[in-house]
Amino acid sequence: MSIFTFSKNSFEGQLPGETTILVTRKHWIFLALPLFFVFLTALLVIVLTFWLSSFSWWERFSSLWEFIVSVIFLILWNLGFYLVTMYSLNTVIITNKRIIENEQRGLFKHVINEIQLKNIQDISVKIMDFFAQLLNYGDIEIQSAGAVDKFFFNHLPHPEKIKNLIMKQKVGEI
Amino acid sequence: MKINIFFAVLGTVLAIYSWYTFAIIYHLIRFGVGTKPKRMALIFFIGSFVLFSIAIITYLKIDWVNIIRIK
Repeated sequence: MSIFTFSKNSFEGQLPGETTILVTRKHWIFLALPLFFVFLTALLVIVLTFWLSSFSWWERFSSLWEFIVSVIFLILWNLGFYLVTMYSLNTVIITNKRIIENEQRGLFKHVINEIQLKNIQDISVKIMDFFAQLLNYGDIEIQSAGAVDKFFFNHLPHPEKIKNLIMKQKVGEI
Repeated sequence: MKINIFFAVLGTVLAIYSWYTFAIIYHLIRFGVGTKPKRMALIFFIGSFVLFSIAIITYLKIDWVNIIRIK
């Protein structure tokens, strides 16, 4: 059971002597919104069950309906956790050496981008709309001197703080 | 050898469901950063097991005779 007691911010591919400074994901609203629809569907199924039980033929079909409901709940449970998995695996990790972006696009497509702190040339923050301003999330654009010249991290919470943290780490690196 | 369509469909659905469940648990444990995703994988596994058991029990409790009978 060592995987459950391992370091709080450890990740696959961590280099020796590399310390995790921050692990961040998209703003929680991007998980909460789709999950809300999953909960809403579950609630609708429960309401529908109460409504159907008022009919005279309910007694005859109730056992079949119970089975259908249990299958619907099983599907919703899986769908909910699929959303949680996608949310929790799409991470931006800031360490004392680099920034790593893990992009999980479905269960079988996984892209990893990384920038060495020493290659960072410029960082800009974009807060694009009313909700972004209200909930304090935004996009971070990093100009790099490496093979890929621009990196975009979308919908991150507290983008200004993240930018400052990266700059601080970069200064420390130099 | 005669293939029972019902069991073939049931087997396929079970295989897809098991694979999907395994894929989610595998991803959370293998690629999750820190301990939180691992705990989530455990919760997901327990929940899936409980809900799957409930689905099997409710299936076995279906009163087909009562449903099919003509009034």
